[in-house]
Amino acid sequence: MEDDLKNDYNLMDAVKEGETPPGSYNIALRSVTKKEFRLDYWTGSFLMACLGYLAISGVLLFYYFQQGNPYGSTQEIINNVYFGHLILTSHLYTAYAMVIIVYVHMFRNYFVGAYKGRFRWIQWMLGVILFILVYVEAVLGYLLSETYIGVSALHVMELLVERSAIGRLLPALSNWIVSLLIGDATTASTVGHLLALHVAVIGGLIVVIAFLHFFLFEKSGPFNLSDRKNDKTVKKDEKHYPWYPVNLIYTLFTSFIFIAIILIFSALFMQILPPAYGTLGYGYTPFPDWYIMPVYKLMDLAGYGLTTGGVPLVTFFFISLLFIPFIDRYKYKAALDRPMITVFGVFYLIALFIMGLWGYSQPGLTQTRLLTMAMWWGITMVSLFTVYAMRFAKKDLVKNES
Amino acid sequence: MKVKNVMYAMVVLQFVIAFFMWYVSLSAVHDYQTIWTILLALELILLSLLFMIYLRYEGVF
Repeated sequence: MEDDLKNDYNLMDAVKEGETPPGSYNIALRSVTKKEFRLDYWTGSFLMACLGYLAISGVLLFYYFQQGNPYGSTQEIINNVYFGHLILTSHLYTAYAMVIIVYVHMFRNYFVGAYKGRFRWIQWMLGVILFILVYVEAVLGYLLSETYIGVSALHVMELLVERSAIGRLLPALSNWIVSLLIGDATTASTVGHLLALHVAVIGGLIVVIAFLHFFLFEKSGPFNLSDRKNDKTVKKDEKHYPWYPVNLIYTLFTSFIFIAIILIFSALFMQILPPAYGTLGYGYTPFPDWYIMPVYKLMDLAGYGLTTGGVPLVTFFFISLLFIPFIDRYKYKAALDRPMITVFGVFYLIALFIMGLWGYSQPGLTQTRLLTMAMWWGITMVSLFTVYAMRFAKKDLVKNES
Repeated sequence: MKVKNVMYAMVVLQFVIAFFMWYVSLSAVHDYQTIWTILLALELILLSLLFMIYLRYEGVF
């Protein structure tokens, strides 16, 4: 059991020939077995479908978007371009779906321990980098139409860079980062820079890293959920279906159903463009899209100021996720056999929902230190007790069964 | 009901929907993007289900 979960740090082994470990290391596109046709094995395929749809609809939008007239051209797309409103809305909703599925994909692989194994550690790390890039890409996307929300978010981002540790220690570096974001601060220059980042730089990085991530998956094969490694009888009977056409048909047409559902949503609930930046909008509280909401509320709750409390907390979260393969030293893969890691995952899951909902009910309202502490300890206790209680219950169950 | 008949029925339904898509796109009214897209989505779902049923019929899953 332990050999199977060991990391291999010599990446040249991945391209070595003449090896046939589980998964088919020899061929680029693996055959699949019957038991792999479960939707939780295919969350990555839905992400690829999202990426494909976003690229296609993004190119179509790119033809009509003008960086010198961002809000006007967005309105033009909505009102005068044939199917423009639909393409814009479906681009937005597919991005939302992508963020949701990124979470589903990540948590699924987190809780089953799929980052354990030969090259799975680097696959996981690339995945976390993709997660960050998807967030950056999403935020850049909503800055582009120059609505009051987008421009407010841009100002917050500039402030975060300028007042962070980088900005305090190396002001020249932070100025350079800000200039990458906004150019010379005219509308055309700012939106031009954001567009280049959104379309070429971050978008390109996502495509390249996603394909590396996918290639590593094809090398390693799907994560074996069963702990019964020596159960040879199960493996012998498995019939392998070729990638073409069975796997292709499955992945293509599940993706089609998925995109079709998004299209129906986009047709029924067309996007409403928020007011432009600079229009009189008294009474509006500019608060961000739902996927930023937890981070936004975290800034209120951090309790030690924005750049000393909130930003390091978010950074800590990403770094701990990135290095999970090295933090997790448990020798088992079942969630309850890795209790502290599971506790951290459950903590994050609960905190994400609480912060998001709280963010919507009280956006931008600073909380007291006491309330903050009570919430953090509350969530910690809830996740600890739940996981350990389940562990004891499982042990009890196993004892009673035998 | 045989699987084959269900598949034939789905193909016929796709033709009917395709006819309506053609009709809607010929009327070329801007606001019809909603109905056209829902029809397209239905086509995609039917097409995908057709292939899923076929794979099941072949005993893949």
